[in-house]
Order: sequence, then structure tokens, then C-alpha cells
Amino acid sequence: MAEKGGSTAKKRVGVHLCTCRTELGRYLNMDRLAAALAANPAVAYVKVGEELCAPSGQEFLRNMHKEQGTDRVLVGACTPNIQGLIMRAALEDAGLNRYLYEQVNLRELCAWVHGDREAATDKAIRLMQAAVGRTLELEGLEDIELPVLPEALVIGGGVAGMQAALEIAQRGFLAHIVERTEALGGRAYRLSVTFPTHNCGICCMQYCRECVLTPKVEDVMQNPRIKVHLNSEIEAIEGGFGDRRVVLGTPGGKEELRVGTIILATGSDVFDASRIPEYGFGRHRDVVTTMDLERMLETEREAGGALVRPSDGKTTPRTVNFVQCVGSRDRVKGNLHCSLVCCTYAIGQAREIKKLHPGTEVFVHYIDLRGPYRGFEEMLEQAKAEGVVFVRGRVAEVAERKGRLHILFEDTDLGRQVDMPTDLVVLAVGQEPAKDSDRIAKMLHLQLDQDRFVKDLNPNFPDEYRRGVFVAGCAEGPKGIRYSIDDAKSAAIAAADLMAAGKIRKTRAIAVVDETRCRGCGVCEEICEFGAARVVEKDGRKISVRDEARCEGCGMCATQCCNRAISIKHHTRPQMDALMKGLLNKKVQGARSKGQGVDGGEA
Amino acid sequence: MADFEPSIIAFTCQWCGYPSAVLAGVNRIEYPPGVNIVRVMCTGMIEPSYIMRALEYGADGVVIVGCQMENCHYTVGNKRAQERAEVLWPLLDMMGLGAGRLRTEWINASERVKFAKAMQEFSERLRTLGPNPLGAGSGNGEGGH
Repeated sequence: MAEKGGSTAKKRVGVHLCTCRTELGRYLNMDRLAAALAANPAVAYVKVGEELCAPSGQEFLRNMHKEQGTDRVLVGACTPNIQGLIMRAALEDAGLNRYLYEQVNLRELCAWVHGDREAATDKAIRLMQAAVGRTLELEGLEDIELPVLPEALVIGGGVAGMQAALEIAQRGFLAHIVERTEALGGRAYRLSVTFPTHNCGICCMQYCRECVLTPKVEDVMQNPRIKVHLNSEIEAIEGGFGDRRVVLGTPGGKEELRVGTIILATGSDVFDASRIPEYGFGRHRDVVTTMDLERMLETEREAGGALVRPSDGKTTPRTVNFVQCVGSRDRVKGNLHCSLVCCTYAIGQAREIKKLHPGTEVFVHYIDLRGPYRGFEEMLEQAKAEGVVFVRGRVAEVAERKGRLHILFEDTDLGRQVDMPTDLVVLAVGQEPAKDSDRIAKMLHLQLDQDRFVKDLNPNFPDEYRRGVFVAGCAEGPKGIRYSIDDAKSAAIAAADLMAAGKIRKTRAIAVVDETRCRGCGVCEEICEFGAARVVEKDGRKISVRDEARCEGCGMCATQCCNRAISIKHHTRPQMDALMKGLLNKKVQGARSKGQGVDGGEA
Repeated sequence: MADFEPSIIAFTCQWCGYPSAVLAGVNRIEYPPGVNIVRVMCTGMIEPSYIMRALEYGADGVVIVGCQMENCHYTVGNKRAQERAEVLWPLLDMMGLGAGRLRTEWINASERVKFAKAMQEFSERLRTLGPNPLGAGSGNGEGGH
């Protein structure tokens, strides 16, 4: 606030108003707004454009800025997050510092949400006048430029992780895969039949998209630009955007990597079926999960024998009941979310059993069948034609009576309860967040979503917001193989683009410490979630310093500092003060108004 | 008093609060024009002094709108903001301003209806609470009485 006063007299703001074709004019009195702003002595000029984000509007902004020569510009238009970026870029072209650009969202925050035109205009005047105050307080700044190291860390060696590593290697960068088990491949490699080819992913020669795109373990192992760390865990990740130090716990001891980008592909776990005791998993040997069945089918295929009941190891089941949504869409006993893949894979397995043993009766108990994939409906039709019976309704219980396994279920189409003897019950278990993925998410400052999967930052955000960290595959939520692969590809491409650029521009809107006020108490170091604040010795006393690469500009340290030694660039106290003063100044309304807005508090 | 339109400072975070306000606009959901939206990076950066300053400048109410708990873009900024509000509430009562003049809302970026509804409710609430006793004196200079 100290530097105010004298300097503001010289500073002047160029104001542009955009009518958004007719959109703003319809809800706001633009003439009154423009006149009110023109009367502000700090405003150099007010120009009204029709469509400032269109090419013609951008041209207008550029010319206007070159002509008028104000050093700061305020635009009253729409949302600064979308079209605002376009307008700011146009003005930057014409020489404006991007930190001296301010925008008021007159459309979404005013015109579109208030029915009374004059009241809305009063508010628009208030918003704009307040923003003029803030604009005067703005400070010209330069972005921070950070190097991005040319190596990537891929956490998880399943389908998504392998695909991501291959894509990165193909683009010329080194990829480290860190896998905690002893082998690459993840869950997809334990599947005996995959949709839609209905064959195992390894040896089929059908060249369907689903499988051909499945990365081959061998390709990964032989790629000179991929380093595979098996039996290894991530112990710590430090550093910030573009340069992170990763500590691995490997069988050979601790290892350290320095990487520019990170892809989190930790996958998902399958639901533990014993959490629903009524289904008898773990109590009856003939109650298995779909993952168990995959193994049984594979063994059978390799040994050339028949599918056998686990309880005796020799008889072929005559009746098989599939139970869908085990642990999925069940808030009480499992997870609320749908696992997306279980309908598809269970139907595949049902057909496989029918193919091997046409005499076996196969029932699928479902709530609804969800298969949002091309080819799913056809597969479902085929399964029905092959004799798989679909029964709508929940299964109540699986129990043993007189040495025989019984399944008790409701058939809602027939409207009755059925108690049926069965030889094998297959529980279609859903996907849930992988154990430990929350620990890694925390290291990378990623949030978990409502189902505790790791939440990727919105991929629509510009790169500079995404911190060089990407989430791919089932770590982000249940996905089929195809979607995991697509996901991994797009994450890898985004990571490779960053590494190819070799550097990233990051906003300067971060914390700065006033060393004369800082006492080095260390509260900021304690609370900073990103490890950006550190207390160091300087000239014989302790002060806090900021790591520019790590600071996200959230402002928590500034608020917590009892000496007011910390401020956030571009969100300074004088800027905030000027804005609030303007917003709450009830006197300043432009021209007339019919008593609205000058709300006459005490009347 | 009949046409008392409460003036509100709504601090919204860049990641959830502000986008929900923008979406309310896109969906043309009305709320009172006394609501003035101030965008901040995170609700964790809202200093108690900002809130007090807003009241001093004559705001009838201050509302903090941020990401849902456990969902803060910066991990715990909203938690800190909530903690600060909890400290301020009894103080506001003690000062005679009333805890009701400060409100917190934790919502998702997509919850436009919830945003607009919160603004409407808060405005209604402030209408019954009456104008900020400091209000007339400060911002508009006509606070003779």
C-alpha cells in the first residue's frame, strides 16, 4: 500500500467492454456502464467492442493497445478462464505485460444471473470500478521458467504403465517403470479371455484393437530407453515441476532417480469377496471369484482337460451361477461405483464355459447389464443364443445344504424367489482403488475422488497447471483394457511434449518473503503442503525462503504468517483491499439509478 | 428497509467456487445482485483481516466458497479456511456484528444450483439480520447516525 498515492496518479487503465455480440447489451445498459467508467479519472479510455475474442476483436485490441499506450488494461466481458486467455494473448502480442491484464466476468457473474436490468447494470458498474482499483495496484511480472528433465517415471507396470513407457521411449526419452511385484503385465496378463476377440490376449492372431494394442512385456523389456525396476516401491518423491527426486526401495537397496515427468499408473485392486459373507466366499470351495475362474480356464486350456469343481478337482460343474456387481453399486457392503468391466468379462467367461461344456447350465444374475462398448450388445445376443440364461435380480445367499451348494435369488421378471442347487458360483468382483495408491497420490499432491481413486488434474487445464504429473489407467477409476491404453497414450504424449519442450513457463503468482519482516519461525515450512517453504540461515539469522518450482501460490503460508512477511504475487493485500473497497463503495454508482444498488441502508 | 439489498462479498476459489459461479451464470440461475464475487487462488489464502476489512467497508455479509472437504486443489486450504471461520464466529458475535454475517460453503465445481441457492439463502438470512451496523459509516460516507 505504501507505493500507492503518487504513482497511481500517473497510472491509467485502458478499459474495454465487450457486448458479446448482443448478449451483454440485452441484460446490461452498456451506455450507462461505459459512461460511468469514462468518468473515473484513472480510466484512460473506454472502448466498447462487439466480440473481443473473435479474430476481429483481437485485432481491435492489438491496434487499440499500440495506439493508446496505456500500460495496463481492464476488460469487462466473459470468463477470464476461457475467452479471457485469448484476449490476454492478443494484448500480449501488442506488448502488454500479462500480469497487467485484468478481466471482469460481466457475463456469467452479472448479466446472466440477475433479472433486473438496471440492478444488474449497477452491479456491473460496481464490479468494473472495483476492478479499476485493483488494476491500478497490479504489478508487471515475468513468468517463471523451469527446466523439465528428459526422464519420466512410470509408477506401475500393468497395461497402462507399459503402454505409457513405450510411448515415452518411442519419443526419445528414458522411462523408468517401477513395479512392486516381480513381473510386468498387471492384471490384464492374468486374463484368459478378453473382450471382444474372446481369446487370450497373448497368442491370438486376430489383430483386434483391444489386444494388438496391449503392450507386450517383451517389447518393454527389450527397449533400450525403458528401465524396469521390479520388486520396487516408491519411498519418497521430492522436488517440484520439471525436476523431481524419486527414492526407490529396490531389492538391491535404495536407488535415486531424477525425473521431469511422472505417470501414475498404479491400477486397481479387485474387491475382496469375503467382505460379503452371504456369498460364502472362503467358506465354500465351489464359490470362486472371476479372477479365480480365469486361472481355472487357463489351466484347463493349457492342460487340455476340463473345467473342474475346486472342491473335488475332478467333476465338471453341471450348473454354474454368475453373481454380478459383487462389491460394486453397493454402498453398504462394497463400493458405490460401477466397475464397468464386470458385465463384459463375465459374459465372456459364461460363453467360454458354454463353449467348453455345452451341457452345463450357465446363469448370470444381474441388476442391469452395463457394457458401454462397441460390440457388447452383439456379444450379449450371442451369449443368449448360445444358451446362457440371464436372470434379473439380486442374489440373497449362497449356502450349503445336505452337502449341496444352493443359491437363493430373486427373479424379478418372474416375481419370485428361487432356491436352486448349483455346482459352481462365480462372483464377478469389481475394481476398487489399489492399496497404497493414496500414499503415492499424497506424495504427488493429487486428490482422491469420491470413490477414493486418484483424481487427475483436469486434462483441459493448460500444462502449467498440471505439474508434470499425469494419472493413467485404472488408478483413475475402473476401465477396460482399451480405455486404459488410450489413457496411457494421452498421458504419455502430454508428458513427452513437456520433456520435448525442455522447459515450462509457470505463473509468477507465488509466495514471496519480505526478509526484513521474517523472523524465521518456521510456521510456513510446517504448513506448506508442497515443501516449498524452507527456513535457512542468512547473514547470521534465520529466514524463510521459497522454492519457485514447488510453490503453487495457494497463499496458505501468507495467511498463516503472523508477521505478514509473506505475500502472494498478483494477489497482494493492496490489490485485495482496492478491490473490496470498490465493491463496497455504495456511493460511486454511475449516473442514475432508481434507488436500486444505492441500497439506502438506513432509509 | 423494505428494499434493503444486502451487499455480500463472496470469496470463491479458483478451482471450485469460481467455476460453480460461472456455471450458475451459464445456466442462467438467478441470485441477488448484491453478491460480489472475488476470486482467490484458494480459500486458504483468505486472511481473517480480509473478512474483517470487508465488514468494515460495509459488507452485510461475507461468504467463502471453496472445494469440498478432502477435495481441495491444494489439499487442505479449505480446511484451514473453515478453521479460521470457526475462530471468527464467536468473535463476530462478541463484536456485535453477528456470526451470521460470515458463512462458508464447500461445493464442487459443477454444483451450480447449490451455489446459487447458497447465495439466495445467505442474502435472505442477511435481510432478516439487517444492514451491517458498520456499513453506513464506512464505505459511503453518509453514516451520520
